[in-house]
Amino acid sequence: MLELFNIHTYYGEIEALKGINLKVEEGEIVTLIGANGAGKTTLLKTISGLLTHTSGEIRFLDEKISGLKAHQITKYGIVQVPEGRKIFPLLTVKENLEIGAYRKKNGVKENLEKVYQLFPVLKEREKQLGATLSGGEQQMLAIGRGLMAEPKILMLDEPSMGLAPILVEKIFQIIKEINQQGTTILLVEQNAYQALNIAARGYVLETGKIVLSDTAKNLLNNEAVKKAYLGK
Amino acid sequence: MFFQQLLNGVTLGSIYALIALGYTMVYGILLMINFAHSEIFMSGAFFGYFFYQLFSRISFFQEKIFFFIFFLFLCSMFSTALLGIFIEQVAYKPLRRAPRLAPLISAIGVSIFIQNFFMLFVSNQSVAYPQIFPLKKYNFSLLEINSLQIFIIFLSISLMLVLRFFIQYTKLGKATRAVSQDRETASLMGINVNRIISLTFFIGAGLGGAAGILNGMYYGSIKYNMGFLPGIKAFTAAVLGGIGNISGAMFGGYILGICEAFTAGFIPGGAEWKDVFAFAILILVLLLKPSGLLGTQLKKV
Amino acid sequence: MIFIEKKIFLFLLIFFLLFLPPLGQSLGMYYTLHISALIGIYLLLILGLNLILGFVGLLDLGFIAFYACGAYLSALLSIRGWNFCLVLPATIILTVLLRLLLGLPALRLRGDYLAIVTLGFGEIMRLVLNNWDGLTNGPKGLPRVGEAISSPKFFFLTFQSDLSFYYLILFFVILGIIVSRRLDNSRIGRAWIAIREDELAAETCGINVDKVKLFAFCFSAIYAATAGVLYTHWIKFISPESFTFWESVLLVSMVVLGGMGSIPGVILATILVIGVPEFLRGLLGTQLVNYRMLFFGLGLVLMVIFRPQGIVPSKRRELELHPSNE
Repeated sequence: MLELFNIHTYYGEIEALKGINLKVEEGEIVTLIGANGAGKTTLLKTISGLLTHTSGEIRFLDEKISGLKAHQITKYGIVQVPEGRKIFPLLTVKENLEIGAYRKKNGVKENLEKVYQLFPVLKEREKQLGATLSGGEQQMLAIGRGLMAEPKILMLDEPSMGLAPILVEKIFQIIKEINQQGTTILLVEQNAYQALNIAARGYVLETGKIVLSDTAKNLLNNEAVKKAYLGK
Repeated sequence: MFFQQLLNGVTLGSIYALIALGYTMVYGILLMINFAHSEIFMSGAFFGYFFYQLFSRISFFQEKIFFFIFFLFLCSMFSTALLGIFIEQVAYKPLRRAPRLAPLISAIGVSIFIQNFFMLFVSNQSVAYPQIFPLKKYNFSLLEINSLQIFIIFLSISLMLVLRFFIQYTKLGKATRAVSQDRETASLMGINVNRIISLTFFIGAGLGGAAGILNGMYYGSIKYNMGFLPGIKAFTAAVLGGIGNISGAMFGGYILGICEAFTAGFIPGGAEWKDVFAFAILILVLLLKPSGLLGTQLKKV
Repeated sequence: MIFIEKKIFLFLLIFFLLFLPPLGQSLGMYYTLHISALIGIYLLLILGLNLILGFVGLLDLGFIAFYACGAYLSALLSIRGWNFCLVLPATIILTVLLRLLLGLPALRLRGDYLAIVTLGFGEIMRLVLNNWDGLTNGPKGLPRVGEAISSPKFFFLTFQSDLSFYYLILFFVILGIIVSRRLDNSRIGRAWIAIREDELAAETCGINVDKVKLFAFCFSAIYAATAGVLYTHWIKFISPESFTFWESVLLVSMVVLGGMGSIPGVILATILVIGVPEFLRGLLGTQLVNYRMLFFGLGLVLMVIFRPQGIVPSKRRELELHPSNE
C-alpha cells in the first residue's frame, strides 16, 4: 500500500535519513522503533510531506506521491497524528475535530458521531477549548481528529508519550480497535514493547538507517532488540 | 458637547478599527507587521475615487443610489484586496524563512513604492473626494449627527460583524484560526496554508480599502501620503487590543478614536497634540503591556 | 572581497571625497561642494545607524530623531552665543542622554516592536519640534529673524569658508570610520555579532546582552548628534520637515542596500543614493530625480529578496543570511 524506496532526507546540512526502504501492506499495523534522534519523526514527516526528500521515491497505492506538499498528501488518505499531539489550543474540541475533516465535503457529521463513540469523553468536552484538555484527552482528540479525515493509513507519532501507564494501555487498545475497523496503521513508538505487541511487523531505525525488519513476534524475541529497546 | 465628541470618536474609531483588523489578522498568522497596510488603505481611497468617476458615467447607476454605493464599495474593496494579495506574493512570500526583519524591510520598500507611484502617476496634490450621497443633518438635544457619520458607523460595524461570523463559524474561518495557531499541523489537516495566508491578506486589504473610502468621504479629500498617520494609529489600536486578536483590534480602534476626539475637543491646544498623544499611547502600551489590553490570542512561538 | 581589498576600497572612497569638491569647483560645478558636504553628513548618520542596525541587528526606525535633536540643540546653543567647542560636546552629551532614556525601556522589546517604538519616538520628536513654538519656532524653523548660527571656531581656527568647513565634516567622517572599524574588531564588536546571531546563546556565553545593546544604542547617538551639529552649521537653517519618518526610512534603506554591518558597503550606498541623483539632477533636470524614490522602494524589496547581504557584503554577515534549509 505504502512503499518507500531509498529515501534520503536532509535537515539543513545533516542527513537525517540515509536511504530508507519500507513497506506497509493494507490492513497491517507496522511499527517503527528506535532511539531518540534515530529519524523516526523525520521519516513520518517525509511521508506526510512536511519535509521533502532529496532522492528516492514514495508510492502510495501504486501512485507516486513524492514531492507533494503536506496538504496535497492528505487527499490520498494519508494522515499523520503529530508528535506531541499538536491540538489547536484555541479551537474547541468540536472545531478541532471539524478541522480534521477539512478536506471532506460530506459525511462530517457521521464521522463526528463515530469519533464520539470511540472517545465518549470528547463528546462531554465538545465545547471546551483544546488547551483545557488533559494530556490523555488531548491524545484522544489528536487521534480522533486524524480519523475525521477517514484515512486509509493513519501514521501515529509517539501516541503514548507522556501518558500515565493506564492511559498508555488504553491508547494501544484503541489503536488496535481502529486497525480492526479497517485502517492501516504506521506507528512510531519509543515504547517498543507495547508497539510490537499490537503490530504485525516492525522496523528498527538507527541513525537514519533501517537496521532490522521482521515480524513483530520475531523482533520481540530478538536478542539485540531485547537489549536495546525492551530493557531485558 | 460630550456626546458630540463621543460621536466623532466613534466615527473615527470605526475607521481605525477597520484598518487595525488588517494589521492584526496578518500579524496573527505570520507574526509580521504588514507595514505596507497604510498604503493599501490609501490605495483603497483612490480606487474608490476611480470607481466613482467610472460609475457616474454609467447610466444604469443614475438614480439608483443604493446600487451605486454597493458596487462602488464592492469593486474598490475587491481591487484593494487583490493589491493586498499581490503585495504578499511579491514582497513577503519569498521571505517566509528569512530573518524576522527582512519582511519588515521589504514592506517598507513596498510602502515607498506605492506612495511614490500614486504621487507620480496619479497626483502629487490633494484630490477633492466626491460627495457620494447628500448630507443630511439630524438634530437631537444632545448631539447633531449627519448621514455620513451614520453611514460610516453602520458600514464599519456591519463589515466587522460579517468578519466575526466568517472567522467564528465558517470552515475557512476555522481553518484561518487553525493556521494562526499552528501552521505545520494545519497543513497536516489538508489545509493549504499558503492559500489561507493569501486569504488573510485579501480580507485585511479589503477592509482597509473600505476604510480608505470612508476616510476620504469623511475628510473630503485624499492624498498620496494620507496613509501613514491613520496607519500608525490603527496599528496602535491593534496593539492596544492585543495584536493578533480580532475583537481586540475593533475594541482598540474605538478606544483610540474616542481618546483622540476627546483630546482634540477638551484639552486646550489638544488638536495640535492629539497625534503626539496617539504615539505616546503606542509607545507606552508596547513598553508596559505588549500583549495589549485584551491579550493576544496567540501562543508566542 | 577580501579584507585588504576593503581597506583599499575605503581609501579610494575617502580620496574621492577629499578631492571631489575642489575638482568640481575648478570645473565650475559649484554644487559639488554642497552635495559632498551632504554626503559627508549622511555618512556620519549612516555609520551611526550601521552600528545598531548592521552590527547588533536592531531595526531603528526613529534614528532621525537624534539627528534632529543634535541639530536643534546645537542651533539653540549656537544662537545663544556658545562656542562650537562647547556646542559639540554639550549636544552630544544631551543627545546620548535622551537616547539612553529611550533605550533603557525600549531595548527589552523584541525586534519588530522595537522598530515601532523607535518609529513612534521619532514622530513624537518631530511633532514636538513642530508644535513647541516657544522653543523651536515651530514649522518656521531656526534661527528666527535677527538670530544667526555662527561659523565653527576651534580656539584659533575658524572654519569660515565653505571648503574649510567641508574638510571639517570630512575629518569627522574619517574619525567615524576609524572608530567604527575599531569597534567592529573589538571585544564588544564580537559581542554585538553574537547577539545579532543568537541573543540567547550570547547570553549564555556570559555576555551582558542588555548592557552591550544599550552601549551600541547610545554610541550610535554620538554619530547622529555630530551629524546634526554639522548639518545645522552647514545649512545654517533647520526646520522640522527635514526630520520626517521617511528620512529614517531612507537611512535604514541605505544600510540595507550597502550591506548591513559592512562599512565600505554602507558608504558606497550613501554615495550612490544621496550623491548620484543630485548630480543627475544637475545634468538631467528634476523630472528624473522624482522617480528616485520609486526605484528606491523597488530596489529595497528586490535587495531583501535576492541579495540580503547588500552590495558590499560584510563577511560575517554573508554567512548568516542564507535562509535555513529546514
